[in-house]
Amino acid sequence: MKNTIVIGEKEATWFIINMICAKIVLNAIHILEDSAGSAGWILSIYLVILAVIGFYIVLKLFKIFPGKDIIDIGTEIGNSFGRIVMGLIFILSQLFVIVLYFRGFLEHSKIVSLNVSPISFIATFFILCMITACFFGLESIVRLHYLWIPIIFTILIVILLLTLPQCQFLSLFPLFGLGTDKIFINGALKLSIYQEVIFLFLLPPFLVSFDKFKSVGYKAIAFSGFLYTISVLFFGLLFPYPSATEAMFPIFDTARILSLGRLFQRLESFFSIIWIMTAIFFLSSSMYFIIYAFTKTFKLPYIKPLIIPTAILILNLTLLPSSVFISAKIVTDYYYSYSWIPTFALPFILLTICIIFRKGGKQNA
Amino acid sequence: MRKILLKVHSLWFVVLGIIVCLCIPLTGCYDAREVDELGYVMAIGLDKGEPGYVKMTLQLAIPKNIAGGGGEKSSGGNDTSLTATVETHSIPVGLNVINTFLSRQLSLSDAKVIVFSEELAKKSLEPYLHSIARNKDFRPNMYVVVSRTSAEEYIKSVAPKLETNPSKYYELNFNSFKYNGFTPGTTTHDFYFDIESLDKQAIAILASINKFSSDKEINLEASTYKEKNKPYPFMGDFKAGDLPRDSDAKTEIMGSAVFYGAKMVGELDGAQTAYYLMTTGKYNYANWSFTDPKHPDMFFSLNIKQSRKPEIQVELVDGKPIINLKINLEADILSIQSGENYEIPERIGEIESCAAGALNKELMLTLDKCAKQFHSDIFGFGKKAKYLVWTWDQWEKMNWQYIFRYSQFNTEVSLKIRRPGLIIRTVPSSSSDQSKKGSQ
Repeated sequence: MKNTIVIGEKEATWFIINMICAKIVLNAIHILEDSAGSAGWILSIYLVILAVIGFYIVLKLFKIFPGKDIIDIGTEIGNSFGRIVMGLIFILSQLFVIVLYFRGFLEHSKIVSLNVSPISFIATFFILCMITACFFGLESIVRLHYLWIPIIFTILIVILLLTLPQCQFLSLFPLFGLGTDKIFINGALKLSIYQEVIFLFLLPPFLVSFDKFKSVGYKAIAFSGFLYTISVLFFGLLFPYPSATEAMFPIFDTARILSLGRLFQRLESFFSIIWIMTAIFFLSSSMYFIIYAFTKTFKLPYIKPLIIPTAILILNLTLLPSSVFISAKIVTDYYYSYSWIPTFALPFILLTICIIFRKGGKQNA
Repeated sequence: MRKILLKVHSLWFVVLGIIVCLCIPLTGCYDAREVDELGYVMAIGLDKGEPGYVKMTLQLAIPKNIAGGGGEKSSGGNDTSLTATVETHSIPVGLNVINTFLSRQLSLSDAKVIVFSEELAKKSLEPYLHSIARNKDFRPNMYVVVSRTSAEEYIKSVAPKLETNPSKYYELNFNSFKYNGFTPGTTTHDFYFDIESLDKQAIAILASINKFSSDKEINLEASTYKEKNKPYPFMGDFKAGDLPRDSDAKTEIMGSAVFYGAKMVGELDGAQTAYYLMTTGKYNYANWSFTDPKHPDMFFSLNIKQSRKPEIQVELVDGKPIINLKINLEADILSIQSGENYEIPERIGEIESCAAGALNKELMLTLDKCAKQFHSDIFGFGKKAKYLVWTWDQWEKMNWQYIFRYSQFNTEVSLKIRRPGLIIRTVPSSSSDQSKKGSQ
């Protein structure tokens, strides 16, 4: 498949930012608070540093194979076997993620606004949007990200800033929360919140230049880190530990306590609009890239015939967990503990193989 | 080719348009709740019921009578609210039961206040608070009230005269702490987190029905001035229900209910609640009276504001907390009954030190009462004590909730009078003693 689409640096940056930050509206903040207590914000800063170091290693790999995505790199290293392994790792890991987060977004809708509607009914509307986005293709998806994501995250930041008068700065103490071991050793596993950087591994053919790839990665990680840090910081200031760990949807709770005088209350309605858009962008993009990776892995010529079967597969898998408790447990126990492996450990392994066996175009040259 | 592409694109827009249009009617199918089909709860009251039960009282708005806006009478001249009481195991089930005799589905989204009876609060509020936190319909800015009478009696006695909308009445009445300092203004958000917190205890608004039905019955027996060793009561030396007054409005709020965990352990009067507000930095402004230093039978009044956040330092000496507290206030003169010319710079210090001394003395009494008698750190000194440790384990080992009772307080109140109002010098009337002395 030859790429004719070229994506701009800004479009790609906002696309990756949304992929990393969409789960802020679900339970990512809760996970950070739960792992480090009142030091959730320190853990968030620590994870940004780890993500930057991880991405530096990723860059080393992609520098050897300029303009090639992770599946192409698999092909270069292990021919068809390498291609299929790389493709399947991406497809299965992202299928796991999209299913969990689709369920998370559906439960959020049901708990927060559509209490009576059946979950399958709500899911239909999400899936229709995802199918439509996939039919429009990558160019439309990333352009929409560029158009809306800056606005969405600006609104999120404004919502957080408006809660400033109600913040209690003493809630940040004890400074090291649950302890330095919990932050810097156990907390390192929470690098998984940056697992969506993996979508960038499929973008090099669309970005064309390596410098753009590098710039997109660093900017996206830095801005996402900023968003995570201020979100967990404000949440910690408003909801003191240990009560903070009770919250199912921390950012929704933050928006709920916001009131500007007697007239402007219930501002969480604005929040509902922005998180639904974020969720749909996230789910649409994930589904598109799963299909894209599938066609590339198995050398299929067209994407469109796979859209509806993939949507049905995702919908069915999403509805498999019998309750929100099970899906939440899978997210906490597996997603936040192991999903960093395909994103940061796999490139490291590939880089090691390249160095040992002297693989790769640029290195050989 | 171009025409074909245009057709394909147009088709997509048509499909997209149909999907978007379908979204509008379809999303309303299951969750549709029309505004005129809902019963809006404004106040929820909980009393101890039969064993295993709680008595729940709801006050609901009657929207057709509220229409017409503010004023002393509703547009139709009818009641603007109705109450309903049921015995139930829990709040959500109680709502269901009430819907067996009220036509509209109940909505809690406009509830302004939750009232617990003192009896229930002394038992424990924990079984009800989690239910409130779990339910998204309960707003986090709902006021938390403990009624010295039953919650049912309190809610049924609320009869706003200046507002047609009881919801607005609650909102304005419970916000009055911002300009009188007599109540803590606690909301469910604060209350819930303080109940679970290890560094601060909870406090709620104290409410009641006034005990005097006519001006002939009014007496000062229930005032707290005697326990403070004062010769006579000031207006803050009362708790809800005991205020010496006669009015058509039977209900009143004054003072606060102090909690240890989820159990109520004591009460503070209005003035003590103002010290709580000053110590936590939530105090805005209020009018205070003090005995004139030169004329013990006369008073001077100040409008006192909190100029800066309180300065709090906590240290541990031999495992016991030493708490240093400095409160910075500024004031404007409202009245000087004696006619003494305290406004001149040489004499302003006399009433400044008199007011600051009186405030400091009562502040100490309030802090000691909470620590020694209630063992409850409602002021949140524990938040400052967390500075002393690095991790949560160390904080838990400190056992602040226990050691707080052994606290030693060092307090300082700094009060600076800034403005005299519209009079810069007091000239005594011609018949007064001072005027005669001057003429001699």
